[in-house]
Amino acid sequence: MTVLNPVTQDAIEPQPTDHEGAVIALVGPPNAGKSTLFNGLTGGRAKVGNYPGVTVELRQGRFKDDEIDATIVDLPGILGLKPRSADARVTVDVLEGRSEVVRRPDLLIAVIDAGQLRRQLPFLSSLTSLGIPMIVALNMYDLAQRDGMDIDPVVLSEALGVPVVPTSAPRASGREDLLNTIKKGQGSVPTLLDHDHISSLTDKVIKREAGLQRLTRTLDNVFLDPFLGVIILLSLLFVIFQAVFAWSEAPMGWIEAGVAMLADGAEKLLPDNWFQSLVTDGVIAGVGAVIIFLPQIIILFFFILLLEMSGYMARAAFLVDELMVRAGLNGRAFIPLLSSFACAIPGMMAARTLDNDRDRLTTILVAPLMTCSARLPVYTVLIAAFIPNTMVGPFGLQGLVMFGLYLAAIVFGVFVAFILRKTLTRGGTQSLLMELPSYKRPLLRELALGLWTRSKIFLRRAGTVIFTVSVILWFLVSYPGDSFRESFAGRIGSFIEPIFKPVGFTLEMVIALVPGIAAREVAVGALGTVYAVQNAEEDLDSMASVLASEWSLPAALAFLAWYVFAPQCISTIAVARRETNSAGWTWFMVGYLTILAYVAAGLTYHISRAVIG
Amino acid sequence: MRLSSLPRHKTAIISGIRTPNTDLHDGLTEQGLVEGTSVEILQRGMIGGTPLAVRVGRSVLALRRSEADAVEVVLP
Repeated sequence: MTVLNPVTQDAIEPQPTDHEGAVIALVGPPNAGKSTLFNGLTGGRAKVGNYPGVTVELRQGRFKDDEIDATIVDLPGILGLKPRSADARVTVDVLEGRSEVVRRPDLLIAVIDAGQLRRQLPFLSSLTSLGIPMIVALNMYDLAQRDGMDIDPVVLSEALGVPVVPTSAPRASGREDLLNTIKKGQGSVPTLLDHDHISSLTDKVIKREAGLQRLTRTLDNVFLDPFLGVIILLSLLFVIFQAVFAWSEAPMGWIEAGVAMLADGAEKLLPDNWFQSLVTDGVIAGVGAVIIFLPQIIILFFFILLLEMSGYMARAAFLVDELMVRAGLNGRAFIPLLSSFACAIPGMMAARTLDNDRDRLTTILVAPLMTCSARLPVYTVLIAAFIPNTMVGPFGLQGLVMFGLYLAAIVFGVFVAFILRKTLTRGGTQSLLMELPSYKRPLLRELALGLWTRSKIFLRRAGTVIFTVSVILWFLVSYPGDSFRESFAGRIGSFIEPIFKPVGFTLEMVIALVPGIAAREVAVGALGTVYAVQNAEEDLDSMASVLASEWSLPAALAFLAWYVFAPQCISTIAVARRETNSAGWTWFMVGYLTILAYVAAGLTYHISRAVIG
Repeated sequence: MRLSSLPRHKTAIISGIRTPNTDLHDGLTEQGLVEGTSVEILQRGMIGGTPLAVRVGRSVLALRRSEADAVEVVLP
């Protein structure tokens, strides 16, 4: 089964290409700007960010013009040729010709952060031992100059015996120099550098060294402060969740109105027959119920991209490290877990940056507990239907409940990790040892591109998966017979219903769960179709008001509790299988999440029924 | 003295890495914690003074106190 990374739309498992041209690999330390350069060279859309370990899988692109036809490979960052983590292993396998996806590169482009040249020169010298022709790209050269560094590329070029090209990944200027150097075939096998001569060479290449960037020093004084920093981190997370809820209200209203107009129009235009019902109650109700959530997805991703691009991500990992260590995890696991709030799939893959196998396994196993963006539609529609829109102090109650659901997931994630590390994945944790990159202003273009890609993926899924489910479900709900229970869907649901009866789920909820296995937000589309068909005679109000009148409060809360835990996403399970490389651990993950979901739904149902009376 | 006991905002020079853990030794070296590099502690964490944000040359590294224990420094 081909699984796509839902954030980048890459195949999770890279496939070998049969392309004949030269293989040119971008190699360098983490966060040196390889992926940005790769995008510039190939017109690709590799994910970029300002923290170490954004790229964890190799990525291929093709560069072709009149003079040259080559495969360009972007590799995960490495610090040396002795890999300790899974992502570094990918790179070293390619460099040493062991990769099954690409053959040994014909040319290396060593991408070095010019501002970090002193620290990265030993790495550069270790690359000389590979004996592969090389060109050095002194990346972010303009930033280093702006910081007051004075570097002499000629001295470095003479010492290594290879071309050294100053570049600035997002700009075109250095890229053209680099391309010309490649085309002229000037890359050559570097002179083997003696380790003892590196420091004297460094002093010759770097004519003036700058201190720590002032902006980074100033910001870290605040953001890494033991008290203030933690308060800022918590406020930031809280603001994000409030924003996802509050800012999206107006645009969601517009889309909802648009969908209603469309349904009205279709109803007037089409003759009153089965086809009209299919279009309005099936497709428009199903797909419409989901695309309403586009604004929320965009706002959530806006903030996540901002955190990733600014350099704050690694700071957050710093702040929570000690807490995570006490829970048995590692501060570095914070980055994969935070990405899991967008989607668990890139989160699980990002766990490859963890050297320690048990840290990595534990992180993968708890990643699906983090509240991914596909749960947003489910949460939002139920909160809008059942939680009054009142204010508690300065905060909206609906936003607070949403925050509570996110918090519950985090608390349980930490708790499960703690238990696992005490039992099944017992053992030492790896070192923290992580670079905190200098802060960078997010590039508007990259931000816009990231949001655009994400929206496209969301809409495409609404147009394909949810469209198909809506059509099939419309048929299953509409035929045969007059009552819901007599329909095909009702009969199928009746089989599963007894399992969920003890936790208070109604037949409609159970039927929404089944297509919801494909992806969580599909459940909302399914509910849209089910209730549109049922209430075909009435004027369909918003989904929230329909649910408010059809569901009891305890059942709705139980449904929410189910979605906090349930592993309802086939792609996530498939990726867990690949990343753990173990059917046993995958089943374990699915099993424990399902049990948690069932117990949580049951407890919520019975407790809230007892309280409400 | 050990890097972990260096006072905040005081610049020191690394004089060596001492740890029996080879992975940690390699990791520290790869990250640029090598003899002769100037270091400075920028921040300490809230709980037990760990982790530490350390300026190494002109970059910032995060390391736990136990890891910083492996780094020997001298005041210039």
